[in-house]
Amino acid sequence: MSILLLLLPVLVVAVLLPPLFRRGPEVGVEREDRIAALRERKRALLAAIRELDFDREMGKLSEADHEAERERMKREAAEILSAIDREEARKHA
Amino acid sequence: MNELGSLALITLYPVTLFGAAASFLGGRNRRKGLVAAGERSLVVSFLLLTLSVLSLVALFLRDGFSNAYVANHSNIDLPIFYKVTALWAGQEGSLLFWNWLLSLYGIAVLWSNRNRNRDLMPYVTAILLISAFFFTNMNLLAANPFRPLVMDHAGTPIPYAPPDGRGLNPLLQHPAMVVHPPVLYLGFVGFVVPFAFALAALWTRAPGVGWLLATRRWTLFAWLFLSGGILLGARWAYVELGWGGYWAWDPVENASLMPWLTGTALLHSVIIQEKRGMLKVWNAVLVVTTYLLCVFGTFLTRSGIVSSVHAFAQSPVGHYFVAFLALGVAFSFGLIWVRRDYLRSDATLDSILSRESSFFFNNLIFLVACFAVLWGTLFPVLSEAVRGEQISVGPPYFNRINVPIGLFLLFLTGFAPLLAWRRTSWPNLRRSFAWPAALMLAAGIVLFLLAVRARYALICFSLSVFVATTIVMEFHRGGRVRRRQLGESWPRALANLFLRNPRRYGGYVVHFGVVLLFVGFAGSSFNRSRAEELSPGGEMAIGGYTLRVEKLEEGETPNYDFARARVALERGGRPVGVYHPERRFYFASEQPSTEVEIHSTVREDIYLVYASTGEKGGAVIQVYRNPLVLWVWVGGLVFVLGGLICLVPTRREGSPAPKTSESEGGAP
Repeated sequence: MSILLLLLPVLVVAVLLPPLFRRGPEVGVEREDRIAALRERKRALLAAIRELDFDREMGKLSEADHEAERERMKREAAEILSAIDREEARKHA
Repeated sequence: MNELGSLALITLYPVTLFGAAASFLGGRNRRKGLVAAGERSLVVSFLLLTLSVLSLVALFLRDGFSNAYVANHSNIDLPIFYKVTALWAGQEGSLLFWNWLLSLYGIAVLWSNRNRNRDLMPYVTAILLISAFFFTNMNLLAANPFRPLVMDHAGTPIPYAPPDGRGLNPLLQHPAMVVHPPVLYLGFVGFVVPFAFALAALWTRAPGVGWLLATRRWTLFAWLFLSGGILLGARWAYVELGWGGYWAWDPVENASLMPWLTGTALLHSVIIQEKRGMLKVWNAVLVVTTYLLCVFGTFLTRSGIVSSVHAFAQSPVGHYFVAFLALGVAFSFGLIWVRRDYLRSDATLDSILSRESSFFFNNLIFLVACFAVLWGTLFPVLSEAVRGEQISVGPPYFNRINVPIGLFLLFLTGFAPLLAWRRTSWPNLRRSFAWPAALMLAAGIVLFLLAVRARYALICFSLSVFVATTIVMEFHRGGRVRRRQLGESWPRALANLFLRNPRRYGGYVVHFGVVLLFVGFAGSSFNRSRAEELSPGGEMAIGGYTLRVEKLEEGETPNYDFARARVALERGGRPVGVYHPERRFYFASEQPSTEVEIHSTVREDIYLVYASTGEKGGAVIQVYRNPLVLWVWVGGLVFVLGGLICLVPTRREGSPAPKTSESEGGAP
């Protein structure tokens, strides 16, 4: 038991210290996160459009309100798709 | 084992500090090595805490009474089952267990984000490790579970191991108490995940709603456990405390209710941010408030500043909690203030008659309810500070304030989901509400004619009919759309409603659970009770039931002795069952306890308590007739089931989509 007690802090230090000697920055992390955020937003928006259509079918909102909101969402989705394309192009540049 | 557990805790102390600093610096300076060292610290923290927890459990199993915590919460004859769960029976062990759960969440977050949110993760890791540091600090300095038992020998403390321990509190020797604390803690601790992500997103000005989507499931998970923990606590109070009720507005009950109220508000308002990009500041405030209320609730339970049947003894941990809360409030709200430009809304409210506004309104009501509970809970402390005497407000205050608020929330539960996003026109509103309103009115009239005169109960039952109708209509209309669009059968259409949009339809199941819960709550308006000393052959009547004591017996087990009555229960002359209410006296802890018996039906509970042995040698039997209590437990199960459905991943890309006129449109 006493050997184990002595070994525990040594073991912890041996596990924690090696990564500190790794060199180099995290590459491309920010861009990957930005692309992932845009993709998440795109998925959420597509789900929202589906739900909007469903609400119209259920009779919860008028044709005019549905069209106006759908147009707005589609515009936003198109902007997001362009943003994803731009980020992807920069990534591969 | 004592040394090993203790050393693991001591080693944990610098590990959490080192890890937090490495993560923060690694994130700020984008150094891979530092970030990796921080993440390893989280893994090492989990391993060290696991070692500590296992050491303490081993001490319990081996009756290691040289450890003060074990000696105070166990004894040789305690069943093994309870020896393991005695881990969280007291202050020191439960704080260690809390810290272990925190590290478990840390590991899960680390694993699930190994390839995602890499920009946020260093800060998330740092916040999780700072929280772990705080609890480790308390475990080492104020509530050490590995403190050896010492006795004073001529002014010199010497280690001491008594032949037997003082035993586990009898109230905790119940199966519900085995499950209730871990479930509740999983809820409390779980809110650290959205808290950490929110602060990380604010710090880094993370783009979009990525952090919100990344934590949506964690928030729901924590909220579900918190809900389950509260329900299990209510069940435990009902079957174990022997006072005939399940909720007493006790400070510790309130401590779990407050973060639940803000957490529920958060679950609704994040939907608005996801869909409309609104309420960003509000959501940030709710995330922070919910987690800090979890810590505050723990502070209430641990510090001894309020007296409660559930609270731990007066303890110095209060100072540590106050320091942590003060720093948490200052840093979190300071960061929200500094980043207010980042939290600007993308849209504005189009109409007061919209889903957004009704959700926002429901949020305000939840916050009012939370504040009312907070005020009532802290009133004894505030009155002592101002007037020098502790004044408790008690259940009448809480009921007076919260019953109308609860009824209003029940109304919104039915009202809000029928509204469309952005705006709802009056004709649509009339069409949606005609049936629910008509049935609500009809139910109210029928109940009134059936002589239901309790005002709030009458409103509650009527509103329950309203909400249940709106839910049924939602399923019916949704199913009809799928049938029309896709030609599905009714069972398939309903199943697909859940699969294509589990959050929305699981949410309706949660709402239906809420309806059942409220029906159960309203039943308490008609509670009756009476007590009588009965000898064998003695009878007592209550609410159409007759109970007869057939036999009184006494006995002893290694853990306790008992006095028990054999009670035959009849209704209208027909036997409905034989019950054995019991009173126990636990040897090790020298504490009495009651084991109640309950005859439970859909209509009512007959709740039997062996209150005491009477002056004539008979049993004093306290009997309660509690209408509709079963609805609370069934409602709780439906509620949890709905929450679990919400956690099911949505079927989307890669899964067969229904045919629609446009690629992204159609049924959810």
